[in-house]
Amino acid sequence: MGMVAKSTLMKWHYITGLILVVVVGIHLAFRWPSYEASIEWAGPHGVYEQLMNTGYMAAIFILLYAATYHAMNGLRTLLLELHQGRYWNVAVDVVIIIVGVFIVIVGTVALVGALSVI
Amino acid sequence: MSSAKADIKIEIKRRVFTFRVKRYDPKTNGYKWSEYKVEVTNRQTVLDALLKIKATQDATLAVRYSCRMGTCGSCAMVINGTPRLACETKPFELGTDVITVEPLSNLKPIKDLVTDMDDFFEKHKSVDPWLIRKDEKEQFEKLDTYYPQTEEQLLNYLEFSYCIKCGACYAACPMVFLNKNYLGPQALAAAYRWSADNRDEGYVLRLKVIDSDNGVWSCHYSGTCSKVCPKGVDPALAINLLKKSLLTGKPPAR
Ligand code: SF4
Ligand code: FES
Repeated sequence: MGMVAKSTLMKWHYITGLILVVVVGIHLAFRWPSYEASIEWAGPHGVYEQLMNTGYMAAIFILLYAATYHAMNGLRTLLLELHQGRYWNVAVDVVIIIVGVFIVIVGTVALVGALSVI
Repeated sequence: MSSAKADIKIEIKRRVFTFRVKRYDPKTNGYKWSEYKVEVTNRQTVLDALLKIKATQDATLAVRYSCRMGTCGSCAMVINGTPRLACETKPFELGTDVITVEPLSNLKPIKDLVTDMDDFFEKHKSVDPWLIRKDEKEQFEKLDTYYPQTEEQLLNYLEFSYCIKCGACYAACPMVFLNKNYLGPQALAAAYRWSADNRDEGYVLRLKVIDSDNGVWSCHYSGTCSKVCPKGVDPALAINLLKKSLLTGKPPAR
């Protein structure tokens, strides 16, 4: 990812880290007061209610994108520190982009699919 | 007055220390430990002891040194597990009877305690550690031009200019150990030193090196560099000031 300054990647790493604290917090708050009730389809705190809640669903979409960026950039940094070499660096970038895009597509399809059943 | 002067005496204590020296042999490409017993005084340094060993017990022992006064940076080695200047470290102050001496880590060994500093100096050079002006003609041809500096401006970088390029911080850095391409604390502190100098205009040029995968972002702030620096330079602080500049988009305070 030589075309992007490392500070830009890191800036987004920190921003997504902060975003994750908020959205993971929201996600966990929706398991309250009962975890079991929150994973049931029906009920006042169930999955259906969560899917109907626009704010909650927006947080889940943000969680998907922020977590993917944060994880992929973190993994990239780690892999580049573990081993060095021109081909290795290129391979890491290619794999990270492919895996990241794959997770975003699969995650988006799954969330949109879930929304379409309500 | 004169009797008071006559009373002043330098107390000399003597003790025999065991020096365990880790020696690199280029012929076998391996290490071996040699042990020497040598008497030193409380006024002498590890370098003095090694030179005494060389003069009286083992002329083959390779040691690099020059100034013997903590100025040139040639004699850095790992003493009792910590990178230090041999000419500034007194055996009496180490608190052990057996003193281990090893070549600097993170650098290729040449022979015994002598390491190859080429990579280290290349990295130093890569940050353009000199005064850069946009107008080179003015800088190099109009030699009557001078660049004024207030004391406050000097204090912005003074601490970082005390570096003697001994490599102790580089040897202590766990990230250099992990990533041989990482510039390391010394080069990055030098990049900050020049970028924080109000006379310099090269910060933007240095960005391509310091804002890269092997630049400041490889530092995970273990802080070992600042702990071992014999000159009180704080490379970890310099690196974090550079990170701050990169994140805020503001060049170092000058
Ligand atoms: S910063 Fe300190 S430890 Fe590092 S090379 Fe300079 S003087 Fe030596
Ligand atoms: S010999 Fe010069 S710093 Fe030790």
